[in-house]
Amino acid sequence: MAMTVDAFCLSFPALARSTNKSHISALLEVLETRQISAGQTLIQENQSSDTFYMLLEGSLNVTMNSDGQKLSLGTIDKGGCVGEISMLDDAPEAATVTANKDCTVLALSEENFWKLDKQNPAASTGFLRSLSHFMSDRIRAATELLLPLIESTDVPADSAVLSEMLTNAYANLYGLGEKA
Amino acid sequence: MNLSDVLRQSPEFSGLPTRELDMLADTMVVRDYPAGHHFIKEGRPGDTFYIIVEGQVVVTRKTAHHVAEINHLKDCQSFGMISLIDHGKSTATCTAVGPVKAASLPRTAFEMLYHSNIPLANHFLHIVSRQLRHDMRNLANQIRTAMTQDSSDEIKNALLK
Repeated sequence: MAMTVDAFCLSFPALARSTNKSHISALLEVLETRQISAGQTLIQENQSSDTFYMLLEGSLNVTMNSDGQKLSLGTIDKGGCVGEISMLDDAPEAATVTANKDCTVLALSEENFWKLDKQNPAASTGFLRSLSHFMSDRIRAATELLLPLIESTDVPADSAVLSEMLTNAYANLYGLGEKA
Repeated sequence: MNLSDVLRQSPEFSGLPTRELDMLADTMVVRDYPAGHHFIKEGRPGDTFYIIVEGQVVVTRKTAHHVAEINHLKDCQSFGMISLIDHGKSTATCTAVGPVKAASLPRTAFEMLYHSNIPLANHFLHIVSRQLRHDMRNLANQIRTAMTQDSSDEIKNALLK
């Protein structure tokens, strides 16, 4: 069954806050519901992806390769999103995203975004405004955690503490929850 | 050079149709600013977008021991774009190096344009979201580089690049 505008607003309030219901309705027409099996990789580090995913059900694990080791960064839970950076750019992804369990996602491909942009520019503008707020909040959250490292004269000397501060900032940048 | 020409030569607005470009130019106010003028101050909320008509602006950030220069902007370059949609505190200071002629667009004027001209609003939001994607990617890379450093000074340097 197709998702309603109200259900979208409840599931993804951050993506609905700077736009109106008629624009969300137009957005829903270009979103695809996809089932992802446990263990399936949605996004591969260092490869470009052209799709923005909104997680309706399930949980995603985010990892990155660090000196040949697979480093677990955290999870994306129901209501979370991933792929916002590379949906409209060709840049490579910074991390690998894999389903922890069977998931349901709403997918916005680059092709469908541009279709919306052409057919209903007001709706795509509203979506971009919400997405921009969303990214701006994440940059701010990550930067706040990094400020003590940049501005303070009293930076912790313990490498484990420094490493945790950096990992937390990275997790905030991508809206990640606890590690799987 | 008039403001429409400046906008036409800027990387952000060069693709804008003439009608929207002229409308944007009509909404912005061109002023002369003295050397040392702070357009944006780190830690304070920003609410204005600027494009430099003539002159130079330095972008700096405070660190524990000094003020780090992170960018140097010249004619036809802009700053403050994200403050049009984000009400948070500015993360850098933008200061006139010498006398600067610049055009400004406050958030209130942007909101009027946003609601009255969809093509222009769409163009702005494409630029803002592209800038934010770039900033997110940069920050992710800075954190990743910092993770590989051993000392707090090296970490600090990685985060300021």
